[in-house]
Amino acid sequence: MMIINIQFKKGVLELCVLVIVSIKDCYGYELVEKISRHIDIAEGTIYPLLRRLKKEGYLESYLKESKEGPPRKYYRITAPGIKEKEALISEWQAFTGGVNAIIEKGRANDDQE
Amino acid sequence: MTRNEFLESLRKELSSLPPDELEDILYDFEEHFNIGLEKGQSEEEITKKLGDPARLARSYRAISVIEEVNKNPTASNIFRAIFSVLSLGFFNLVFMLGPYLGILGVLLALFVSAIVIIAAGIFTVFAPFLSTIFPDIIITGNISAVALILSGIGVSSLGILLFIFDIFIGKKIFSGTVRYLNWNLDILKNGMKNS
Repeated sequence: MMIINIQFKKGVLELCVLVIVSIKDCYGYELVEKISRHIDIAEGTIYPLLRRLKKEGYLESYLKESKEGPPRKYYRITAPGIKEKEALISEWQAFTGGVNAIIEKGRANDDQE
Repeated sequence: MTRNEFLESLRKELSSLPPDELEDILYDFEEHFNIGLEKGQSEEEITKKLGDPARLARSYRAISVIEEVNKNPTASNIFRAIFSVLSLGFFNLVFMLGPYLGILGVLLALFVSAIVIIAAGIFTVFAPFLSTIFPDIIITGNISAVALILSGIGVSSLGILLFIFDIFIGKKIFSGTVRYLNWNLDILKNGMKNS
């Protein structure tokens, strides 16, 4: 069960990153903060994921000056990235919809007894 | 773990990567530390939340090696990719490794038999001449030299056909391996190995 849990979380991570970046360009730390606020993850995991998404052409990065210290690496979503995001969202919704339907059925059954 | 210990560990684990790629990866983590420290976290807190650098390094190596295979699918790259993905703990690869090596063994045997058949044909072609040089060892009996030469050429041709067939099979196995590794990368997508 624990392994399923871990794999599950990681699969969703890609979806979360694409959704957050599609709202607004983000730097790594910002993304980590936004995700770990809601989901318990090893924060470092976000960085290899960002790199892979970049190599697959779903994200682009650029450097932008910051008031404090060296320039920060920002990530922005690309057109293929938006398409991937939409595909992942509908996959996710179909999946959670199915699970919810099963849970509801289970509840209805419990009520009858 | 301090910031330096974390970065050094990552650098050490990723020393096989191209230098510019390594620097790019480290840049992300330096930035992460800089911002974290600005926000008042300690190095200890930041490294603890980042997770094990050795595990992160495994993810990076797998990404890099599989990218290399896609660009340049040589045998050594494929093996590096196999072991890199193995290190991520994909059990399907462990289970596949035995049968896979078996298939490679069969392929090797096919190549060896093709070569042996070609050699036997060549030997048969030269048998008439050899029998005049070593009459005690090479005995052609009543079979005419022309028959020997023609059948030799025939056998060699069969061997060459088998060899071409082996190359075809080898290419199939090769592209199958690349596809299989990519499939594993897809699993990787949904599960960057970490705790």
